[in-house]
Amino acid sequence: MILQYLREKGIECTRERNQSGYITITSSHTLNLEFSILIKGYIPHSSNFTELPLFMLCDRSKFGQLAHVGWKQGEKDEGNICAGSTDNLSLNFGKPELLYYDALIRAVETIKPCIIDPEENNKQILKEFEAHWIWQKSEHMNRIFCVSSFKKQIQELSVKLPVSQDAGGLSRQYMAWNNTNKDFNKIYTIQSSWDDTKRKLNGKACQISIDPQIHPPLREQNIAEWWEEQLLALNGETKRKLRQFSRRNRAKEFWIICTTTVENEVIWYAIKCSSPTKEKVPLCREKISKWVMEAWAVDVHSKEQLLPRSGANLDLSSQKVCLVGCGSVGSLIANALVGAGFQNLTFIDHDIFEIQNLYRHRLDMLSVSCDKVSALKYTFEFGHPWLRITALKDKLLSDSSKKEYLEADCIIVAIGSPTEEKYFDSFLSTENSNKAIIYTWLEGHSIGGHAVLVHPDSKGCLQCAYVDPETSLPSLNSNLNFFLPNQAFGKDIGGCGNLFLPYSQIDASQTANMAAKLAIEYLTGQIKKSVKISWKGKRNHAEKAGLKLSHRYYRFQKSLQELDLYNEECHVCNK
Amino acid sequence: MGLQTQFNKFHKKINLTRQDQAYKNAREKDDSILEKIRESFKKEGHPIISDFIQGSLKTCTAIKSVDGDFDIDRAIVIDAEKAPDNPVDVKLIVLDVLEARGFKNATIKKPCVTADYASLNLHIDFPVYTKDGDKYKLAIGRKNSTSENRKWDNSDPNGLQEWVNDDRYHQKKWDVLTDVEFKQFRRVVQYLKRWRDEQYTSSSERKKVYSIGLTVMVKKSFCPSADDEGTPNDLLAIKDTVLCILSQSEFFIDLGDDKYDLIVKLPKSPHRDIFNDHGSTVATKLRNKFSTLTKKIIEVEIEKDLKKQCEILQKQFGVDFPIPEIDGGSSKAIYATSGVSSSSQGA
Repeated sequence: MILQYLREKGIECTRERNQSGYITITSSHTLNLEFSILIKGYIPHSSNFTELPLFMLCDRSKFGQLAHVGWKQGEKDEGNICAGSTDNLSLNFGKPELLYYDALIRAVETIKPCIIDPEENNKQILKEFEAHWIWQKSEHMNRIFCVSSFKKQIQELSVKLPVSQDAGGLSRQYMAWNNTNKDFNKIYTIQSSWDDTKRKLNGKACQISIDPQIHPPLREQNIAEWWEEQLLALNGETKRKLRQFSRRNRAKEFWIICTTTVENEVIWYAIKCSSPTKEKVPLCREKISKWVMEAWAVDVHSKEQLLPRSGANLDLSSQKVCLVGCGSVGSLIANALVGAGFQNLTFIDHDIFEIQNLYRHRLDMLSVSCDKVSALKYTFEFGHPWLRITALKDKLLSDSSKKEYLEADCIIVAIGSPTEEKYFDSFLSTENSNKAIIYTWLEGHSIGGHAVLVHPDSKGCLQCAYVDPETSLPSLNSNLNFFLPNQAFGKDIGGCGNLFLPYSQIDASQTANMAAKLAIEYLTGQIKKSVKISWKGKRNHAEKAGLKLSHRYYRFQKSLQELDLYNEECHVCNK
Repeated sequence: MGLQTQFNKFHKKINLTRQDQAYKNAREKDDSILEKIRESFKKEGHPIISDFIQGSLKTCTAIKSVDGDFDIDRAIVIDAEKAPDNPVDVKLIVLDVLEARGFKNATIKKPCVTADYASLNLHIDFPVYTKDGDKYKLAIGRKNSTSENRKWDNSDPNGLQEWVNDDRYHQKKWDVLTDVEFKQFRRVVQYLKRWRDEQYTSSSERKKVYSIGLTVMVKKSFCPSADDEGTPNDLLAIKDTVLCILSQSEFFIDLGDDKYDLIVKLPKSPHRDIFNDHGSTVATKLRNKFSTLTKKIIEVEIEKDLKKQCEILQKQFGVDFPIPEIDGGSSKAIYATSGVSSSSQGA
């Protein structure tokens, strides 16, 4: 059916079954007067076509280094064409002939400009430098874990051996460490991996920034030869510095770690250099001949690389956020802030973590009976290198807490107590702190959650959220709430003293994300006024508990939308 | 400070609850007279098995009257098995007690015994019911009614209250009104009752525009108006509701020559027409006044100045509708009106 369809579309093609049982379709394509190519498509084993066919460029060796095409593997002179990932495409598996045709055309269109235009080919190769680096070796390429950051100047690094090839995680990798690494927190896991006494020193590495004129090595090209070419192309000043480095350092093992910036992305790759005798390191052409060189891939650990790649925002790293209340909602706000890239946080809470909240809190069993703030500090700093958390086990308005508020760029209050929130608000008003404050809370029974941002440069305050819409008078209950006040909201197990507000981690998480997002948007200048935001849940739990809902619940249709906080009837804003 | 704030102030002025201090003396008199009636009924062999407040106090739609009078509608219930055949007999017992206690103009009316207590500006009605299971019958008949006009007639006093207090939304096939909207419904009834009291200068005409008639019309035609956040707009609710009353052929029947009849049936037993036998004069006048009210509200909507808006509304609703003074610049701290309130908030 596929064959017939391709022929209808004017593509010459033949079909065969190879020895491994694969059905292949070979099609011929004229790119221009000069170039014609043959593409062999391997039909997936599964007949349901939920993945792309594998397209191979025939007579691979005659094209040399070619962007988007791998090198031949094994006997066949075929190279894999990168025509997109199945994960990022929606495939019409019900119409295999359409799917095959479209995918084939994509493959042809991908490689055509690179075959007919050498300049474009070079440009594309540079863009996918890392892939070509890895293709240099026909077998699996080893990887070194490099803890450093991009610098234009030459950097000296230390390298340690793996603890054991049988160990798990980082312990089985070589590790390169920039000796100027000073900005990690003390708890961070990577520091302990580097300091592990079982990890033995291997030698030194030199981190060099190479400009984008570079070209990746060919398949199985001798890396020493390739490196010599690169040294030739370096500017005089860099050459001089490398020569100095080479004169000062002799070793049997040495690492060259290279960085190249292409279209604002930094590419990292490494060369492992070995010599049977101690030699001056191969950073100048004369010294290279004594060394055996091997291409290695780099797993880089740098702020500039890791934060944006994992969705964090580098711009937030200098902002200071103070989080008051580290209960279920607070702990998940902390989680969101850390993930967003904040690196300077203060947590304030006087409470300890109790087992009753295990399933809805960010902390786990290991932290039961510990201070919430200390346990959260440890949990987050352990996993996040540049994070610095000040943990204050203290009351809302203690002297040390007050000091933190005044130093913060933004304060998030997640204590769930309207009384304390208003008390806190009145304290900040008297201090004229002019801070952005976010108050957030959820309501039980999965009915919803709310957050308000009090922007220092616009009208709207916490009291705006406490004006009774019917009477225009101040109220003890927020006008954002979805429940009518004065009902029995809590559940108790075991009588007095065991009352709790029923809600799940999903409820807490939804609320926390809203509050964290407000903080991020405020601190990145995306919100320029005081706003309120709510999410509304289903009412089945509330109805089961016999609880009455407010007008706002029934009529509210703007879940997760930022709405003006300012209330014209607010007696504080209109003093 | 917007127009709704003025409506809130207006409502605060006209709203009447049994707990009001102004109502204290009337309430005490009601309690003491009830005790005497209870004793007399027991002595006559018809012990009272229950009593309850009827009418607007029970449906939270009561207002303070313009002339400072208080109305009490106190239902008395006796066991059907112990009731006399002649319903007027029990009404005579009530009459005797009222006269002995200094009430003026104590009269047996068709559905109740009524009297005034002049020094307290108190007007009190005592309807008497029998109860058999969950069925009520009302004592009908005057002092000298013939036997045909005296009867224990089927009635459903609680049903009517429950119907008014039902928070479902008549206009939208009984969809539920929110708490804000339901409270607004009660306010609209109260506003229109006060509006009637102001617009009908002749007391005989005013008395014919029955409160229960207005309540039923508003209930059936109520159009709530509040934003998603729960801020009500009472002006719009009045306008939309009155327009809806006017457009409903169920109520005003066009008789031609700009004359109308008005039919508003009790939604519960005995389902009689509340305005029965009042002819087209009451209906036509009420319709015209309703039309004027809607026109005035449209004027208010066009007018931007709050003071002028309130002046227009004051002419409709009377002097209790406040006109804001020019801001003198003084400010005072405002606090919430309750001390403690349980909250659904947590974190």
